Amino acid sequence: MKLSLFSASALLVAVATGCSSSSSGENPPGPLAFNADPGSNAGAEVYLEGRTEGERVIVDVVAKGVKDVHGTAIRVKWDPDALALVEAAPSRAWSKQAVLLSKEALPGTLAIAWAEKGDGSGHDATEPLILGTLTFDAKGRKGTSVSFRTERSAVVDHEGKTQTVAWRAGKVPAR
Amino acid sequence: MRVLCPFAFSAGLAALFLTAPALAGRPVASPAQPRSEDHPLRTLVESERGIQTRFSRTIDIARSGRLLESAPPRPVFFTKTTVGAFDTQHAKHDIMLDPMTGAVVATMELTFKANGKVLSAVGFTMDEGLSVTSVTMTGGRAASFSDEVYTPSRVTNVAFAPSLQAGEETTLTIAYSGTLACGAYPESQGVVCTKGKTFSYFAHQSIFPYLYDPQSPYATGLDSLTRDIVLRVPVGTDVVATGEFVSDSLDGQGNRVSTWSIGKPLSRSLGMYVFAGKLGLKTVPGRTVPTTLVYPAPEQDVDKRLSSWSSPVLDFVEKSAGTPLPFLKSMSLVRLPSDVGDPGTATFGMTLLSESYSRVGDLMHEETWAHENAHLFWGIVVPELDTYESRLMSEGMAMLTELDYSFGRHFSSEDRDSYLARRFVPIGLDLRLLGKGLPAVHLAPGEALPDEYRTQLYTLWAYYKTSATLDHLRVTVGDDVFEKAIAEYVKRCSFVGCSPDSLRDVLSEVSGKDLAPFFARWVTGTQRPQVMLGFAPTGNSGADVELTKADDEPMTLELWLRLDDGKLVKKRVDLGPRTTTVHVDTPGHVLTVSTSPRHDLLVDSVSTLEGDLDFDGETDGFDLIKCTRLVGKKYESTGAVGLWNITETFDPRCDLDGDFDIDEEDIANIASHFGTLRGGQ
Repeated sequence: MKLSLFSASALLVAVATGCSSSSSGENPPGPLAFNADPGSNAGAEVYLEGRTEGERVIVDVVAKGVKDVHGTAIRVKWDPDALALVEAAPSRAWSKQAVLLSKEALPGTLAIAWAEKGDGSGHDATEPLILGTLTFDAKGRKGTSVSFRTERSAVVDHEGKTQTVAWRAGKVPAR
Repeated sequence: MRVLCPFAFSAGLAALFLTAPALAGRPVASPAQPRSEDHPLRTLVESERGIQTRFSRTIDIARSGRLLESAPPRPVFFTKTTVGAFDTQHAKHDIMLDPMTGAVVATMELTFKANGKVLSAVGFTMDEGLSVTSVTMTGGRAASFSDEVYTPSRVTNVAFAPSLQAGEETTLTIAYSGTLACGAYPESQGVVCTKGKTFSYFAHQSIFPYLYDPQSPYATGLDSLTRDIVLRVPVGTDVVATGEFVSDSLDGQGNRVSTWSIGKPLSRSLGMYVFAGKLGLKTVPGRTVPTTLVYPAPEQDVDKRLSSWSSPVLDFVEKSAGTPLPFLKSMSLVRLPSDVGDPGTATFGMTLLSESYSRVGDLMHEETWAHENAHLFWGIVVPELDTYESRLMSEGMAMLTELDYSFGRHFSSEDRDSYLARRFVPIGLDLRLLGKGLPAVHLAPGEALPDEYRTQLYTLWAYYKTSATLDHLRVTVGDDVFEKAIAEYVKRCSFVGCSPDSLRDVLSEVSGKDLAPFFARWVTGTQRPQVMLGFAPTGNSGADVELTKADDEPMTLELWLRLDDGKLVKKRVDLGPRTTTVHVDTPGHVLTVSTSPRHDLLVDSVSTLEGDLDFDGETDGFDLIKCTRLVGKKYESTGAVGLWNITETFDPRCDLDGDFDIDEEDIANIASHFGTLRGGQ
């Protein structure tokens, strides 16, 4: 019980100080991490796979179990007080002609459109295929989920049919 | 016989019908066929209006001769003229025909009135090999005749004195005989008739005189009559005629006597056919009324298909019209051989379709079969008051019926709205690409289709624009209301000439709404107004929707509200002047708000947010992936045959600049607005 009380005290301090970055006299933040949500049994999914480099969180957007990825519309959300988007880079899987757009349209909301043009077949993501990579800078101790807004996200095949996929996101734990 | 339309008084008395409506199938296309004015489909469309165009040609030639010197100058193509005085009532035909030699000995006893003014002559055309031998008239009138041949027809003028005064009735008996020449119409591939074949074909203007008023040969209003037909053919000859079968007997003189009846008024310009020889005859299963498929023997696979389609088609046609077909004694369905050059038509108790249509594949062949049989109502039982004024309730309804039939028969697992919207996409594209400047669906009094309105533009006007308008109309009032109104329209207009105004009145009565603004905008007018849609979800229980248009006229649209869970809520809303705001309750959070895609041909609905093609109030990846795969797609019409492109995937919404090419510019346009999202989400 004492441990819990301690944790609560620490949280209160954090809130009271705004706690957007470490300050002198505070302990330095703990290690930065990205924890992917647990795997599912879904045959087809789009998921996030992350790693950290210093204060940077690098998250791959991966499709798996989808035979024909012709285009994607993806909406990613996170707490802008916890992470700052550095870039959203499409992978090299996309052709030079592809539409490759992303925009943090609202703080903490990223709209992505990665799509091939024309009616050629899409990319084979039967095996995991990185669609793109999101890079964030941590802004402090605060944790956040990095999630998909599933009703605004879709994968379509070359016929324009929406593919049924599970969306699996992840979290950056508070430090 | 002229029957006053109960709710079209202004036009009722004045309306006469001269030339035949084009009731037959539309152009047959295959996507591989190139665009060309000489496209075989063009020829088919032209020939399906055969009687009309052939008659016009004959009269054009005759006008320069003696017979029709008193006729007015030929108007531009399709111009409506003043109504003629020739008001036919009943005809008794007695025709002895040897289909092998073409020998004919016949009489026609024609009862008619003078409508509204003095009538001193009547005219008719028939095969050039036949000529009048005598004319007699009741009422002490002296009748004389003169004729002249304009191959392949003979034009005969019967003058009588004293003239028939307005309202007076008389009976003219004409005896004629000769040997059929069965020539061909030079401007088409059609023939007047064929003889000496196992399947001999005798079309209107061959053994049945085609009647017209020489003083007003181009009058276009409805004039209809009943007929009794006696055909005498050599024993052992099969014979089928237009009308309902009455009796069959032998006269003891080597003749089979076959009698047929047209017991309800039929437009005098609608096709009168006889088929004789060793016919293929097959009973159509599943119909209460004896229904026979008639074809050139021997039976082919196409006959089996036509036979199997016929009962479902006729049942569907009756369901759509809300009442059984009134042909209670018999019906004849005919597979025409392609060499007669007649694509087909519908007439009293008889549907005809050229075997040429089988080459478009079973699906479209069956659909065309539905179209032709739909004309048994739309044009035959329920004629239009004036077919040059509008084809809304003939071709428009037949088109609608064929699309509905195909949906019900083959695509019922799809969403019906989406199916219909998809079928109308190429029709809409053809209208936009080729139909700029088309006149209104219902021409104004005195308005004429321009002279160049042949085939392609005619198809766009008569078939496409009408059906698009009707489908938009039924979404506007609701399919259930439309269905009730159509049943009522059939009830009131059967064997009576009605007009689009009649439909407006019936719909207004049935719906309880004034449909005059709709008809003013889209039937007597031509508009594709823009309506801008914006919305704000109200929590998880609905949305406030704002619709803005540029005028003050009322309009009703069906809104589609798609929820987060995929459910669709449809709500019909009335738009007032300029901007209308409505709240729509829903059982969940609203994701998108659009209009029914079935409005798209006649309403240019757009999101208030540029680039928001899916109407979710955001310009995001969904708008792009809707269109990126279509980059490179062009809509290249083969010339008003879009109806046949049922797999067409060109999405007009992705063609932002309207150049019929979904290209980089369109994608760049959407991309320039990318990332405009709703706040707080």
